[in-house]
Amino acid sequence: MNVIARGFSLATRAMGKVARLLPDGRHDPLSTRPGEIGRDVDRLDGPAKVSGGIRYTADHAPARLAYAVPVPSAVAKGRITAVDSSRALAAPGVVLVMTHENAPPMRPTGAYATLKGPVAAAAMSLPIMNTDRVFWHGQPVAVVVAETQEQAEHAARLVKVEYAPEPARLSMTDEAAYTPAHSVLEESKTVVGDVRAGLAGAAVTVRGVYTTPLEYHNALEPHATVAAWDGGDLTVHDTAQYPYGVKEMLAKKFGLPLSRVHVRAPYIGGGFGGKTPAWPHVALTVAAAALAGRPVKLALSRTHTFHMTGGRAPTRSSIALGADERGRLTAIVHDALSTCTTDEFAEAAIASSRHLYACPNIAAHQRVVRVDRIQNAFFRGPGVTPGSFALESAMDELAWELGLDPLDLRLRNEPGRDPVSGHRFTSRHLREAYALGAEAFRWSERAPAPRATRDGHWLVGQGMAAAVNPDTVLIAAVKLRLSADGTVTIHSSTNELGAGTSTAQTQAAAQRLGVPMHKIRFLHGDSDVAKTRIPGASAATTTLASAIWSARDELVRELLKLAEETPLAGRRVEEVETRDEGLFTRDGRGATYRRILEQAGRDHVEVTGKSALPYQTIKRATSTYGAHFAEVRVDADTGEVRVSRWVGAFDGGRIVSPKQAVSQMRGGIIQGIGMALMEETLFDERSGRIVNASLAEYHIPTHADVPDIEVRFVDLPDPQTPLGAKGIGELGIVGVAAAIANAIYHATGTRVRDLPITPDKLLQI
Amino acid sequence: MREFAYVRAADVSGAVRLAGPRARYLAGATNLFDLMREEVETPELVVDISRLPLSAVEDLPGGGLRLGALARNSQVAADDRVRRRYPVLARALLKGASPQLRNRATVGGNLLQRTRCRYFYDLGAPCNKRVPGAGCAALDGFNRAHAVLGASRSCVAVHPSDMCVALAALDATVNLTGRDGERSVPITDFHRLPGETPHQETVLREGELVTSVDLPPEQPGHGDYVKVRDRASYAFALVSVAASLRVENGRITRARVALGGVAPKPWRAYAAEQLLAGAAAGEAAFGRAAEEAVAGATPLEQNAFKVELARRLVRRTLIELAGRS
Amino acid sequence: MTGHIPLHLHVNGQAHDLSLDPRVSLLDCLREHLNLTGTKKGCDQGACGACTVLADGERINSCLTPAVQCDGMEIVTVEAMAGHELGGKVQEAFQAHDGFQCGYCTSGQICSIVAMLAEHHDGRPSAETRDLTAPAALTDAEIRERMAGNLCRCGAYNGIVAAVREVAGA
Repeated sequence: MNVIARGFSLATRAMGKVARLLPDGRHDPLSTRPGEIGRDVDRLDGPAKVSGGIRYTADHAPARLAYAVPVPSAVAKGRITAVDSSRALAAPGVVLVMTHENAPPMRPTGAYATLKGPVAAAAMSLPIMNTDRVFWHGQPVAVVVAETQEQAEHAARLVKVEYAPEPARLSMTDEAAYTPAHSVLEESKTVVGDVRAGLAGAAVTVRGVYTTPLEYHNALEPHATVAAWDGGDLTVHDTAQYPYGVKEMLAKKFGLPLSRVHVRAPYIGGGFGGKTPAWPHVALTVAAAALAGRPVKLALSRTHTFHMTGGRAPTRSSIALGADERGRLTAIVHDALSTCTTDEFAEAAIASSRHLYACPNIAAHQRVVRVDRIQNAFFRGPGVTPGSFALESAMDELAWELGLDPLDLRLRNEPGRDPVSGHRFTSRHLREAYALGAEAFRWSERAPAPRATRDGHWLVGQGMAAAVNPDTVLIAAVKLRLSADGTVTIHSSTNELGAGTSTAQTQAAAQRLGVPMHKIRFLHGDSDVAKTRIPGASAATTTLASAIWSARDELVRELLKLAEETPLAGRRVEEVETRDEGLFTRDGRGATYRRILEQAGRDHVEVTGKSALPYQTIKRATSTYGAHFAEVRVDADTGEVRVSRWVGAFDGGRIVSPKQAVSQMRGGIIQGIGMALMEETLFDERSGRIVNASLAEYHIPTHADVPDIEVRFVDLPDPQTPLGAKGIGELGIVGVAAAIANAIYHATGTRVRDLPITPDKLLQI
Repeated sequence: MREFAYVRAADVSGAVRLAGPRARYLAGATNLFDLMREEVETPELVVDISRLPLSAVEDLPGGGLRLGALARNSQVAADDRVRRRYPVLARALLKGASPQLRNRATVGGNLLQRTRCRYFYDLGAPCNKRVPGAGCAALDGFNRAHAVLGASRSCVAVHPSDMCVALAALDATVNLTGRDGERSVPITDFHRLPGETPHQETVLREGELVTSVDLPPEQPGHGDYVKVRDRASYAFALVSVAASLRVENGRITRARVALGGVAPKPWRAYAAEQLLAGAAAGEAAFGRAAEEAVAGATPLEQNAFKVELARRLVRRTLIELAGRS
Repeated sequence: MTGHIPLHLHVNGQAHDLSLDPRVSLLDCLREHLNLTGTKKGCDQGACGACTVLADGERINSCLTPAVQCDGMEIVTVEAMAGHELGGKVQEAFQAHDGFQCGYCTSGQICSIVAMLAEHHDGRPSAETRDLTAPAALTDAEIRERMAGNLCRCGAYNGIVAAVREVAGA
């Protein structure tokens, strides 16, 4: 069973509902048809974005707005013994100070990341600010509300909190590790065949330990919430990747019916998973607005985004690979360690090792340590991104041991079926991706030995890595409204993170309905439209396409009922096509939408469409695949690394909106460059403080760190998915760090197994 | 940010009169405003000097150049005379911060830039520089970015400036105006080592204002500023080197070597310069000088690499400069 | 002695007389007092460039600039770029080359580019400039170094550089 589908169906079952399934064998007719799909289109929100015209969350300023600033805890664990708000309250402009002593009750909810119901967006189940307990360093222990941002910021520093500290667990150690009941979307422990025998019988083995540090998303837009109560109604602008989940969470926390909570999140300034769960400040803003009796805005400072939202957990992977003399894998052992909190969110670093290569003997084991930290978060390719650094580095090491080209080694281990489940793939075109990428990169020209190419004081090397990331269709509904003038408006509760969802869906809907793009408006980010669970998982494109497909069928059904006076009278849904702005039979008889509505005397028709999980993707394995080819230059004296050339080739099914798909892959690769070379959260294990909670000291790539990146797509439709597409939002980052580490080895002869690969690690002292 | 009174100074003497013990001068604001927001700096009075007529770059009689204290980093780096006569300074400025910051940051402000040690910024962590006697969280904490030369048990923070490293190599002089009149201090004496008083970072007296920096006449030879950092741009130095070299008939007749990113102040490597003076220009001398430049280094748990990196960078820079001669 | 400070600002050609807490940054002045929310707060630390605006034609980080220091200055923000000859071209090139994803850093990138092209036109050097005594050609390496003060986490850098290339080459 598709791993992601299992994770989410678990969650769905917990709610007592079963996801709709598409009947076996129903292929999307659009998946192979030319049209708007696959065309290069400028972003539809482009004019607004380049002119400063989009209102992001923190840009909202309702009348009588007050400004809130949270106070972070100064200990990692313990109890609050006293809070003295008097100086803060006496400071100019201060409206109130909210602490656990006066905060309104907020009912605890389940933590979203555990994927155990209820599926609200809450990041944690902990009762923040309804308890005197401190669970991590930086936990909000008070919120100051003032007339201006400046006043609130200063007054927040005047709140004096005293603690009875307790010993905290802050380190990821083997002694405290255990096997979680579930890892995210993967089994925690997998044993296929006999790895001991596989290693014992191997002609060549490699072993290594690979680590990745705590990393933060650092979307350029910090998290923010603007909350306003109006009678019993609550309206919240929020930087939510999952607006419907925030609506559910707030309804539960504040005991409101769902219909009274309105979450608005049309545009998000980048998310990457960091805005999938609702961090404590969201509910605290709502609580502060209730206490203040006026709208409140809480925009986290960059520093507070490190303290009050979660990042990617650190990982340590021990890998052992065995291969026969011809380079066929005989064993894959992947023992991974990571961290979680009270809420068990175990990122599966083992994912690639379970799905990427044919191997008769696989043992993958994910363990976690509970630490006194803020909950770790989904982050572009959770688990698979750090884990693939380990596996794909080890594969490179194996290739050197075998004396094989690393691409050749991978081709020799390309599986025909999923190596763990034995399921067939709905489609897998990794071979084609390898070929596309290798050709564009001119991989065959690579020097066979390491440290063989020098350009002045730069050592030049090339490396590659493969990528796999799961694909799924999630739960969404859209409302589709056809107006008498022939225009179409599609309302959805998902949002535009910058992935290009609104443009891609407009393209797909245009072709689905046979309506030109300029007559379609895709509206997003209103939680009230319909239950929509697309928190991430690269699932927006296919999930929304599925819902719009279903809406199209509903629309045809409705229109046929209205079409008594047209040549369509008596036709069934299957007999008509949506094209040329109307419904037509294959023999060309039919009517335009405008005519059908006009003759029926209707101003509009509105229908709802719901996504459905294609049955075949449950029976089979559906994933996306990629191959990265990287060139680096390493300063032989200083250890500085510059990425000089890149080709990424990907199998993401049919590409709906290529211009934006290319951008999204580049974005993932660039985040991967950051992960490989510079990103590291300095977590002080003495105190639990994050030391470099700043964009000046947590380095992300600048313009100067990024070369031109060439992206190629196999662009073959998956026969089982809506539009023939597969979700690619996360795929780009997977494998990038390994490709760079492998290129650095080729350039220098030095293998670095601990990220990030900063200059000091290449000085060989 | 704590509340403060804001006044705009009309002239230098007025500014100096206004500035009492709880006052700070505000110029480009890029460092001070940030530190005030963090409440690391909490002045009661802010004297805005940004409109004082101190932004000119002027030739000095005898061939030197005077950089007004309020000359912007970008302005100085783009100045034709600086580019032609003091390329080491232009390069150092261009490798600092970002274009936007360089458009605001001034010569005087850069001299007074405070350390980027994150424990200094974090009010919750002990820091002797921020609160004398509180202790130092960096000694046994994250100290990869910290000093290997000139530090003490009280403080291991580094001075973050690029510009000052070049000024040190150029033998610049800092001109000051205070209540007791004017005086000049060599750049190499301007910053103090931490010792037991890391909160005292410079020799500035209360209310004293940096008015300009003088560069001595251009020296024949070649100079460069090289900087190693954790990303390609817009990052503080792990190690940087400002060096100049004059080679005549195969002999080194003049050498200047200063290091950044390794010490609590811009670090002049005098002993290395002495080794070089008169020596035959060649890898042997440059290697010895590089060793000497880091002699006595006392690395911490995470920053031993800086010693090796500085050694290599000094050596390579000298070799390259000799190659240009 | 603490109190509000009067100041006179020209923003996008419009004059404003304000009285501000001196703690207010130019960024918050634009966003919270003049309702010009196109300029974004990404870090409030001078570390990302999202808040870049033009002050008397120079690009600056508005987050680290006290508004009171801008008394009498001409401020130009992204909202005025459509009416700006170069700004309008940059906006069009951004769309043609997909120089943005989420759009949050875009205002700062565009303002920064407009100033950067002017700086280059004036012959100002960058850390990439080999020969400091001559004007530098605007190579990709020059563009990247000169734009390094504007971070983009979505990773639209290739599109941004392509947009600059197009506008600079025209």
